Amino acid sequence: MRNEVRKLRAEAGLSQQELGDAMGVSRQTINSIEKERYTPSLPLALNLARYFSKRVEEVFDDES
Amino acid sequence: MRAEGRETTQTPWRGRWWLPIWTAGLGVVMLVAAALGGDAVAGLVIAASFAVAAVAFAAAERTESLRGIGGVDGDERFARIEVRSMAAAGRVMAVAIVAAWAYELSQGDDGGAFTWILGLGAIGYVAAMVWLRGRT
Repeated sequence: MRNEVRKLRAEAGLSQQELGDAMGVSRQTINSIEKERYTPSLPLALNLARYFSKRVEEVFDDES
Repeated sequence: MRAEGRETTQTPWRGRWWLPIWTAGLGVVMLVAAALGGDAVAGLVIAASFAVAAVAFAAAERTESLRGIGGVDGDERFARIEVRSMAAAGRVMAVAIVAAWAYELSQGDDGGAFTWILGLGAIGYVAAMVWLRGRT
């Protein structure tokens, strides 16, 4: 699933580790999400969107 | 941007020493079983092999993947990886047991042990399906 996590994280000046710590997941999981190899659970997707003050459909897109 | 996200996953769901202790414990079980069967030497070899693996797991604590699989840094992705790995291992075991059962039968044996293992696996699978169906 396409997503804007890498872009949003870069704009926020966060490392993968820092975002992972904030989300309660590992750095590897953030990396896998950014590379679109792993589709996060609904709670994690919502939490990521809220963290960046976005709606979940602004962060994740399954139609591209 | 929010200052802090809410935790979304169960981390960790196991302790740092879970995997090494589990591995070493299996070695002890095998040692006792072999000793009861009258072949303590084989039991010692098996237990030593498991002990080496346990030490390797403990020493590999710096590896992110092993920490995740072992539970130290476990999160939803590692939990999903573990479920899929367990399912894959279950399929391999099922094929191996069916093959061994067929071989036993072809040799004129009753294949009793494999019959029991397969039966137990089938019951476990159905029970898990029923249990999870009501909770998922």
